Amino acid sequence: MRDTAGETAGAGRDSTDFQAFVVGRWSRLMRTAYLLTGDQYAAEDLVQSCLERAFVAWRRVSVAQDPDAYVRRIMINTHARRYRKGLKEYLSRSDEPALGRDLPQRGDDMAQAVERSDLVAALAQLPFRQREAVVLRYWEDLSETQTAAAMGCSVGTVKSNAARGITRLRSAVGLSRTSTDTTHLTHEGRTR
Amino acid sequence: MTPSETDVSELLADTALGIQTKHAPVEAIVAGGRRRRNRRRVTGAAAVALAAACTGGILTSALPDEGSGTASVAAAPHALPRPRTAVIATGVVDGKPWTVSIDVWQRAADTNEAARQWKAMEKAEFPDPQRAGGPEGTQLLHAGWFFANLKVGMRRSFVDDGALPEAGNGKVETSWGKFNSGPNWFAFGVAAPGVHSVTCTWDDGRKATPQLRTVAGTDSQFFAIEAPAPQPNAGLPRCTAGD
Repeated sequence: MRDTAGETAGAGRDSTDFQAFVVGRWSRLMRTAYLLTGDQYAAEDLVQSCLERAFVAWRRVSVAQDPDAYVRRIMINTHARRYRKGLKEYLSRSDEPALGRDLPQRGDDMAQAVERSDLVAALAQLPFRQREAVVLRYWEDLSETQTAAAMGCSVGTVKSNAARGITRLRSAVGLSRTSTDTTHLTHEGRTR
Repeated sequence: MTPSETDVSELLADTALGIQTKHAPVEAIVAGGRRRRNRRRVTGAAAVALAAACTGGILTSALPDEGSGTASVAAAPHALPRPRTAVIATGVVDGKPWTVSIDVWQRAADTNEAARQWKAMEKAEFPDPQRAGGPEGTQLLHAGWFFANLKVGMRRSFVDDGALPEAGNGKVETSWGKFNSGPNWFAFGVAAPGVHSVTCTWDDGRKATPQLRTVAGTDSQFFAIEAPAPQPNAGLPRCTAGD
């Protein structure tokens, strides 16, 4: 007899697996959600909502070939749904004081913090599909095919959205620094 | 990547890594997930009830006049397969009545029927795309399928499902269930045809003999019995055939 989810003790292993998954992915998902929403609280809300959905479908998620891709798809769908519902507060606007929350930390470069705010503001100005394409391609480092799978669209759509998004971001104020400034950064363990 | 793409990629990384993330609120996520799942089940149950009511209405209106000789919708080959249902155990927990009921879906006669039956099961019961061999329902060609559902007060939740066991193997399969409210648990089990009694041994050494119940449509027998909370990682309830 198979284990049943949640309410039976037989689901204990599933629950443990799920908890380990949450702990392991939380930080990464939070960073992606932050870029999508432009706000830390909204990001937490998005990730929590996405992981709750993953919990409901954990049987399917855990046996999926790529559980991360499954959860990423849930996140993109949840983000799109909220955006379409008109939750504009979900996005920080450049004229809102919320951006001021991104204050420089100890030892942080003020210029970097300002740049982050500029980038978040510029991202918030992008149409949400362009924002998703840019974040998935250039932060998550997904291929065009993987991005298309996450967004539920064609590779061509990903290409055009990402290209337009990049162009708009590049033309945004404050994004003109040279790439040599940040070569020391690590991308969740990967040296760029 | 082009230089401009690399530039944006680095800025994104810089921005994303610049935020401070707290510890994952695992408990809150699990609790939220459970609430979501329960809401989904309640909604699903309501939809099933509505569909059943509508189907009943259609069947009533489509029934032929007595003696007319025409077939009813229910007799049509494309009528939606439906399970046979019976309550196998009842009790009271935290002042609320509880029941465990069994839905029995018959073994399918051919591949078409298996696929139709699988689809109907997926709609009517707790969904699971991997069940019974997936959407083709290939396992339904070999065995019927049961679903156990718990109802506490007005709340209905899924307990377990599986293939109906074959006759003569003396097998008893079990799982733990937890009542929706309070810390109380129960053991659920299905015994192969031919098993006359079952004895459960709890973690504290006590024994119990649950009453076996049959459901129309199968010779398999089912039981559900209140039980002390299992130890963490206790495994499945130890209930064995008595003869």
